[in-house]
Amino acid sequence: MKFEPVIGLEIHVELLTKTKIFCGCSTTFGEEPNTQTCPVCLGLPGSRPLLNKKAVEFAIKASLALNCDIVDYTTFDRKNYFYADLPKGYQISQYFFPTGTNGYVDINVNGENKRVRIHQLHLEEDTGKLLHAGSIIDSPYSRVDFNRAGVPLIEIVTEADIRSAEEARIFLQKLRTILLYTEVSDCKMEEGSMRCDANISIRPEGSEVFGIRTELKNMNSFKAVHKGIEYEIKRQKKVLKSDSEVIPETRHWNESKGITTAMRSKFKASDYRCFPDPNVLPVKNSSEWIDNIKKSLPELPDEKIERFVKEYNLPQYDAEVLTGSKELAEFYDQTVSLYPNPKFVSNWVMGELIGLLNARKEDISCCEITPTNLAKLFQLIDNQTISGKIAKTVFEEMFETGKDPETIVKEKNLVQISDAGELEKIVEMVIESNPGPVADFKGGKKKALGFLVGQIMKETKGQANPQAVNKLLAEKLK
Amino acid sequence: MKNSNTLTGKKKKNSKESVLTGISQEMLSLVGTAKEEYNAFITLNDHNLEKQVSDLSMGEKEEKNSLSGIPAVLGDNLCTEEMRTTCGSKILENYQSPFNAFVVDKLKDAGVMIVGKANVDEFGVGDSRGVSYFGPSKNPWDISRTAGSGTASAVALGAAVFGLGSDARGGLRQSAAYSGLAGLKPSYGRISRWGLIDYAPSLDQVGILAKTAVDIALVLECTAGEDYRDLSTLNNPAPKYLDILEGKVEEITIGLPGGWNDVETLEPEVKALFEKELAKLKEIGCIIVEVDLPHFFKASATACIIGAVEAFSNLANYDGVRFGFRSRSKHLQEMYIESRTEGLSSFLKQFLTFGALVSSESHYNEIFLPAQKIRTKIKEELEEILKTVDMVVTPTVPFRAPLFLDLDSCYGLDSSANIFTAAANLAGNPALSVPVKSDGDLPAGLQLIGKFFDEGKMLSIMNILQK
Repeated sequence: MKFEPVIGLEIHVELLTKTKIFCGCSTTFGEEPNTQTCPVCLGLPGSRPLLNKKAVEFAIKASLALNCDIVDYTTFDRKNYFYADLPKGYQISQYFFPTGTNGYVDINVNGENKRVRIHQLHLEEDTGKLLHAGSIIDSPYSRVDFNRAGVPLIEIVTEADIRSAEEARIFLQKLRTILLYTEVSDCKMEEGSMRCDANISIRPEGSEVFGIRTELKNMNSFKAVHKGIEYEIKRQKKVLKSDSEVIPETRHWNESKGITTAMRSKFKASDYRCFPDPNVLPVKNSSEWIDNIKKSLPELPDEKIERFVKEYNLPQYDAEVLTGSKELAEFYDQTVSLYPNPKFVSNWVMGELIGLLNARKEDISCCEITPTNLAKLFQLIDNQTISGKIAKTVFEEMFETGKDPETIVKEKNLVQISDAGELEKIVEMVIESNPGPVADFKGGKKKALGFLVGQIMKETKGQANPQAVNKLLAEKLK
Repeated sequence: MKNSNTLTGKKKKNSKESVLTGISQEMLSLVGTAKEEYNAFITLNDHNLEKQVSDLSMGEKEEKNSLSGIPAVLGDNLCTEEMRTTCGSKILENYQSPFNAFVVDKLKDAGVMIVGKANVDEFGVGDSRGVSYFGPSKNPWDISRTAGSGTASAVALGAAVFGLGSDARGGLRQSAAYSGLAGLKPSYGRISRWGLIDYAPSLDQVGILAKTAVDIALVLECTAGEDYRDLSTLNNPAPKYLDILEGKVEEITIGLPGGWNDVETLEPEVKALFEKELAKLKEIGCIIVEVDLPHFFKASATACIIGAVEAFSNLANYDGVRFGFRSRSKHLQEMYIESRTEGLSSFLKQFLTFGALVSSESHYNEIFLPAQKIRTKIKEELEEILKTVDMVVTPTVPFRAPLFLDLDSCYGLDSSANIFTAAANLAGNPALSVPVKSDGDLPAGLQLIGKFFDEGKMLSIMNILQK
């Protein structure tokens, strides 16, 4: 029997507000434990929450970017449960009226377009963090760091539309790109500002009924999401094939062992006794406000791809790569505006620039090359100051030093030799010292010409103007 | 009951300095009595108090306003930096708050002398039982009876000129009635609740206990006002209440809800005292009309349900993790259970359990949701009636201060002590308990419920009644 995986994701994303959702404490990551706390986020008696409107705005912004309907009235509700990282004994969350519903993200899986629907997006507060020496089981203590408690989060819940580990990864990357475009979060999976849980079940292909699902946690990178889900699908298939049943439970992705292990049995219907927090007044999202936020949205990846294909005549693939981040797309856009040859620019950005960035594991934001300097470099090629080959050397130098190409060309004396007199001497010298290849060429072996050109380039350290060389050689060897 | 310190009385008679030293010395001995014999205080402001008294007698403290140098008492569910804040509970027995409640800062700025933290029902739940982990607060009129709260006991004894406390279902007004004091629960949003350790944020308000309308007006003027840390206080600047008291009182119509005298627990003495006071209201020119408020008498049960749900959640931060009492235990779950089992009283635990029950999935729709709907009805009904009358009048409590022996029969989860008072908490309207004295016997209370932010008018009526 063939099985089909059914996957839904729950993604928690920390919002990039300067302060927490219900107090004025900073949200900076990585500070000394419990240095970014106050009576409100510690849940001290007599303190009261004060809603940070920026968090509401960011949740609306993210919802709009994910094509959601925006709720016009919302309460902040108490989700009651006890845990050491939860200072008040309840988490404030949008239980009854999530900010966004009925959204979607379009992804491209191996050339096929696919739509993953967003069930809802809601705003809530993050919890603190438990600290242990080593593993939770062996640690002699549990300590709690409340720096994270009260950092605003959005939780994005997809419909169970995902059908493979690869789709899940592609969706998550697209989601991250969109959220980065909107600048509501830095979406760093390794720092926990983006966290993904997956609900996974499998069913016989063609079946409409959902199988029994497990919830998979602790996947801290895109790779982990891919590997974890893939492992879990295989595990469930094995279970079903051995005529057993999948146990509904929360499972933990063990990165070092590459397996999932059972954490706790789930779905015993935890009763959170949710009710609107009487300390936080309900919020009305006026249509005027929503419109203003909509206007503040940047051009999103899908819109950019469409424009690049239409306006710049780029292949779909180029457009997708170039819009992979807002900064890269802006870099490309600006370069093209200074040097209006879109495909040429695309080839350079995708080949040389991304190549170097990947080799150095850097991203475009730390790139020393400015669009202006890149356009200047292309003009130096056009006006034959340097050859395309030399241009790559100059480009690397620009990447390292941030200097403008003209300075580099001058400093390194890389100006192309186009002077016919000077070139002629070299050409004659090469012909003289290579009688064999010259004879071969004259005997009809066209390939020998390439060798001769190569020798000339060697003599000139690559600075000879290739067209001029070709022309001269052709004349001399007639 | 001979020591009837009132702010206004004393101030008028003497020069400033002698008044202040006079009050201070007299007061210090009364504070001692209130603590030792009436168990009115949980913590005295010992060290600071003596310093403040000596500062005052040296004339070092400038008189900033009419409250300067005046002794006051705080219910021990108002946070203070200079004294522990216990909420009358073992779980917070040694809890030191890192901040002052908004009202505490206001009083200190005005030069008020805070003599100590008064005994409160544990976390305010119990409303006016007047019994906490620290024992009962005895009534100055009869020590075998409850004062309703340590604050009421202290103010009635004259150990302080006024007191601040909380009122979620009527506790503060009831303790005023039990102890022969005036008690004001202001409109929801009139006084900031920053630093008030409340059990039901949608019901609770900071309230004022004192002997005269003028004293209450002065304290309200000092403590009311906007505080960005309590959003309900915004956009409603407080008026000058003393000016309102000194102004003319227009013809006042007061509604008396039909069925008030059908309340089962209504004592004949309370009924008689109330009717006598109603007659006085007529004498001073008020028009009393009967009004129909059918949902009014469902307020007590409704507030019990809503209060319990909010309390169950609001008191979840007492878990032994970050502060307060922690029981020795092997793991987290056990720590929660043991700390709360040992740290909270059985009366409170019953209430919290009830709250957890009625908000659980299986009861939410049949109990909690209908309670919210009835709350809306009560609010709408009161709003409608207050378009036709200036205020509503009822007895404050159906009975006078109960004997400690009878407390358990008077106070269950839903106490009939709340029958007249809870509606104002559910609706958010201001309510004032006016003391009704009987000759030599226990006092009772008459309650006025006013329009939103109309505290001044109610205080004016009381002021005239007291003249």
